[in-house]
Amino acid sequence: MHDVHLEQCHKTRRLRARKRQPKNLAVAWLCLLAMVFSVATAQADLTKNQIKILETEFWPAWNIGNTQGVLESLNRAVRSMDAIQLKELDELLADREIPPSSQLLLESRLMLLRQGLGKKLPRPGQQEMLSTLGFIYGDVSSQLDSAHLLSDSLDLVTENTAFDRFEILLWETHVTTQKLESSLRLANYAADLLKKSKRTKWKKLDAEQKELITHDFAATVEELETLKSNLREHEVVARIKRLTHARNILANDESERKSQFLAAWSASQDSLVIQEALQAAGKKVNFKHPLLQDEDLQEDVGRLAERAKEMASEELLVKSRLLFEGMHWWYRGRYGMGTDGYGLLKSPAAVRDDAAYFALLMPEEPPTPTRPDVSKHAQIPEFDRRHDYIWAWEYRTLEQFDERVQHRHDSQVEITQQTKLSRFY
Amino acid sequence: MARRVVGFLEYGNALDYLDRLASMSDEQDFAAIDSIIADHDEFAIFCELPGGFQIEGDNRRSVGQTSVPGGKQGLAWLIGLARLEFGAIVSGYTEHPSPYQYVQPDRYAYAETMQLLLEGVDSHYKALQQTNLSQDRFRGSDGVKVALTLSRRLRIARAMLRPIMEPERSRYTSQQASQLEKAAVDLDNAQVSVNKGIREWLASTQQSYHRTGSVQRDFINACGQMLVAEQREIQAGTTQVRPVSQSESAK
Repeated sequence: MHDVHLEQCHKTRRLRARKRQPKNLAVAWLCLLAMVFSVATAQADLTKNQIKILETEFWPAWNIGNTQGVLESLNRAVRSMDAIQLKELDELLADREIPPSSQLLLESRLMLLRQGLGKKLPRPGQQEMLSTLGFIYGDVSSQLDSAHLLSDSLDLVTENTAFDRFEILLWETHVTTQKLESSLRLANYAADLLKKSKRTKWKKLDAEQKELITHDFAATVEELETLKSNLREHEVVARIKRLTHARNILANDESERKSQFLAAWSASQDSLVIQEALQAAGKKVNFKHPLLQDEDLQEDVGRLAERAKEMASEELLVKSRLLFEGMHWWYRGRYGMGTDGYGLLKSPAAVRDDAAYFALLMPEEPPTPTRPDVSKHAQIPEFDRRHDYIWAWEYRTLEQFDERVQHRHDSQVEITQQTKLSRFY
Repeated sequence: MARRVVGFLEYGNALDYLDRLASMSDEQDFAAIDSIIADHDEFAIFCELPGGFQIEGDNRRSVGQTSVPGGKQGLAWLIGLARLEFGAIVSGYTEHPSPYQYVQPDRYAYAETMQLLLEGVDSHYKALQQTNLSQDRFRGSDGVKVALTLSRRLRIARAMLRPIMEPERSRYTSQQASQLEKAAVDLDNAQVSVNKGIREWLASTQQSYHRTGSVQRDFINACGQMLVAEQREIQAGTTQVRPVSQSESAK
């Protein structure tokens, strides 16, 4: 007979095979009973305190996919470990098909940094700091390259470019902008980390490591800001061209309904984005892109947008907005991965913080789903039906219980207390 | 907790937009909308009904060409999947007595939603048939966590089954109707059995609390709330808990 834990373990194995590469902490869904930790017998060389941290903090955090808990506990545990103890810890993790401690620390830290939680993280040890800086350096370099290439591609579109080509390029722009934002957070963190580090500990580093710690991440931050701003200008120019294309479609009574939907969406969406960008720049336009330096640009674009909207009709504008925004939310529901619970949950901050409530990890390229009965190992989306998995969270959800009201029954000799909770689950 | 589950905000908003769109669109619009959706492979989904079951869709509905073999695309399927997943989160993580109240024959995408519900119930039912539900499994503090988990799964499965059992029932053959009835009885009995485990744990914990004062009060309340959710469903008339069969109670 199977039981619920065995079912979870079975799913764990499938998840493990699927997720190893992109989902840093989602390597396994290890069930609690199978994870009762027997370090005491297996790890004579680890100290009692190290074992205690692993047993009481790391494993519980790992089991529920708590990224912050994993980082904090592992960071404390490895601080006092020598090379032999670290090796033993990594062997212990490998036995359970969990990545080595250095990888766990790096990935947890990066995951939290990308969520803008840099200020709440424990300071890394020297090795951890070097690997974090190395990753940030590589990440920033690749983002700079791809943003330059994209700006060039955006310049190639014209007023006659088809809607689907516009859509691909603007999606890439959206993804690249998000990545630049993320790189900015990382570069800022790196600059701050280096500023606060004690340089006396850096004497034993090799040449490559010294180069890394002397890199000017503050200058990198400025470079990223400039590039982000340039990319935004190229995006605005591309959107003006698409808006012109949309107006031409809407002006033609014989356009097919599908094209009218696409054009109406462009009319409402592009005019909004363009005008936001132009208004943010103010009356004294200081764009670098030659097509944005016309003093009458704001008025011209305003007239273009109004004309396109008039031709679309209010009803079509509403319908196209409902369609494309609805599709967007559906896409987030289908393919979005949360930061906790192996992608099924958002962080605890989602209960109180709107930004955390919205945040999801999304695929860079629109994926093609796979047949659930054919692709067992690389299924897309990760959870073909969320309802097949979400039931499995039980007492862990009690973290949410935080509001208590006490009632006293003074008429009785015995005083009883009642706990009332703000929300259940 | 529902706010933390990925899909609650997303599918909830998707339904808000797409349901409104469906209510104001005509056939020409639907054709254009389905064609736009079909241009995007990422909006394809797969649905396999359990053997023998068939639910007819709306023949007037046009579904664009898809490059995903076997995939189903179109506005109705998007709405159907969003309803399925959103309803599952609501039934598992809130006390709402009827999470699938909008699955009605006069609403757009009814047939598609019913197919997805049927597939979902089948998946949970088969898994639960393989699950050990004997009472000794739920004893102790670890056992009651299993009971809470299973209780949530049962609530989801039973909520999905409810709309299937109601107006659609006449469409099924007598054999299929019997299959569904058996599934409903089995799931109800399983829910009673699991809840019994929770109640017994609560009773024993209450004694232990008075004795030691060291139990987790939050956890006790979670158990109580799971039972309260059940009571609300019964009071709202959206569910009926049947008496545990002799064989079930003997476990």
